[in-house]
Amino acid sequence: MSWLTTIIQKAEIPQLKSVSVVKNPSGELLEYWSSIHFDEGRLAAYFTDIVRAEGRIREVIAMNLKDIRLTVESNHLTIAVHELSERFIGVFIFQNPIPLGMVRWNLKKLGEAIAPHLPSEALETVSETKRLFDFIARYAPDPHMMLRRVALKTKIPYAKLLDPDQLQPEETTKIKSAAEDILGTRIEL
Amino acid sequence: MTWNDLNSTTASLDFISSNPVVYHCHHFNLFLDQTVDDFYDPERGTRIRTAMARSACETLLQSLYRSLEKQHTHLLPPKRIELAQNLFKDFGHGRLFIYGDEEGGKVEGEYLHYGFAWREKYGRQVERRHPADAFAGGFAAAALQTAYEAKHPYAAKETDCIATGATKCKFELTKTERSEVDIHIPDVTTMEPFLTSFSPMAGAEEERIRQIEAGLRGFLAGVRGDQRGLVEAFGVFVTRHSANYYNGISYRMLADLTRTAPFLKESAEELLRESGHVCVFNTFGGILYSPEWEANFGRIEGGLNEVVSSCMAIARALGFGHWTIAELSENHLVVRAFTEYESPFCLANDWAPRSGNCYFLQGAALAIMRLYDAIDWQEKPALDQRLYLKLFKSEHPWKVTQTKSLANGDPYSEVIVSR
Repeated sequence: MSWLTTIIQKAEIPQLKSVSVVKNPSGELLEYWSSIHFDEGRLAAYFTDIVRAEGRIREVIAMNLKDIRLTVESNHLTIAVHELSERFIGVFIFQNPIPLGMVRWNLKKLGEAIAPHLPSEALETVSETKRLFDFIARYAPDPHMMLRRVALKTKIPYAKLLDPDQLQPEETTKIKSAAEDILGTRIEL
Repeated sequence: MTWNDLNSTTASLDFISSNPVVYHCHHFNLFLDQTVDDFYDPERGTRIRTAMARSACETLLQSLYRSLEKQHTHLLPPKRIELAQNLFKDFGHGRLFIYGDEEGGKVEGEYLHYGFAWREKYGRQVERRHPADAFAGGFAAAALQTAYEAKHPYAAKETDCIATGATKCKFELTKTERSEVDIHIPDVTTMEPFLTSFSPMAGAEEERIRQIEAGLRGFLAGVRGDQRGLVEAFGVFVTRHSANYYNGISYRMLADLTRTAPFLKESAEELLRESGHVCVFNTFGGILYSPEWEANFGRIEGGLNEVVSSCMAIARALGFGHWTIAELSENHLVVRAFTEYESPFCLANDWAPRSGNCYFLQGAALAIMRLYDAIDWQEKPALDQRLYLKLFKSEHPWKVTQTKSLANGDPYSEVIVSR
């Protein structure tokens, strides 16, 4: 049984239907629990998109709030996005009816329970290049051909791209620029 | 007059006024252009693709006007431009409105195949920073040049493109001194050695392939662009396209890459194969799924011989050449192409490769076996981007190699797919 399942079972929240713990901004799924069926990988990626967009909105209106809270409501479901740490967000799906105050209270409790299980910055040994590749793989069109495309764009041999930890900083800069061109957006990791 | 009057078919190769043409879908078109831009950079890639389109279409339009003159139809420049615009639309490339004279001109485009299809396929996922319609620009430049029989070529620059968020595509045509591409555009005469000695060995399921090819060709004879100038069929946007454009941009890129960065050749080849792979998976799959197929040739049940022979027939009907099944088992396919559209270009240009050169054929053959292997033909899952990525995102057991090539003097081009 995963640590997340244990937390959910202990919490005993009947309206809670799904929890995804997602790396931000790569959108990579760290841990997942659900009693309903859907494509959790896509959900994680889309909500990370929303969090990124929300970050840009805050830039525009010059807000400097650290904690992110987003809520999407429909007749049947309430979906809440909660910042768990600087590198992780949680996507929580509740079945309605559930008061928003109760949602917020549960988010706080669940967030506190989840936080100790998140990899710390110190333990995160993943290089910037590896994170960059994870990001491109998640968002680029035709991800199965992504490294070949990056090779052509950067003129870095494909075999070298297969071992991102061996790449030099100037090569990582080239890869980032290629990725920004492939995606048509600025990448901040 | 219809385009069919100027069309000739020999050994499953199609020609419009002696110029080789093939049907290709937007998946192939977009991926191939993207690969070229990845190597050069979008700006230079666009310039080279535009110049290649201009060269290929200049030859095509000139021979078209010559064919008409032989039938005592002499067209003045405005009529020539009108004819070119109609050809562009009927071949599924969208609508072009060319305004200009010998000094140059302006062009507006609506529903241009590349920009429109790019927006449909990638527009929700990627923000494009450079225009997409180099082929349309090159075509318009060639139309103006051949209409006025100008001695100099025109450079085409796309200033607005729907793929980058504009409401309409716009181009400027200006006189230019020299072509950026140096290629020999092959026509039917280049292919004569293949065509005159064409005596293919019969492969497996030959009779079935022949019958289906004939049926599909009958269907395709009536296909032309709709009011938008697009051909939307079988879940893809289809174009009738200059084979010389495809070959020109592919082999020119490979030649430059081999000279300046040979260590990238394997990646470039993989991407060129992928163009064929994504094309066949989506287009051939879409045709096999279609009600038209079921009505004419029966429902596909998913048998090995059935799927592979159907794909050979589709390839022939689309003008890819006379492809045959030399060997076939659950783990192995050998395709022999007694004609194909890639090798003639290599023979006409000594800088182009002579072996291992049929990247489309390689990617297509690979996709045919994967179509058979990966699709549940009873369930018929939607052939969309999600399924494609799900199937091919991770390592897969199928590999392809090319063992013979018409460009190398072999009697056929041969690719082997195995796992």
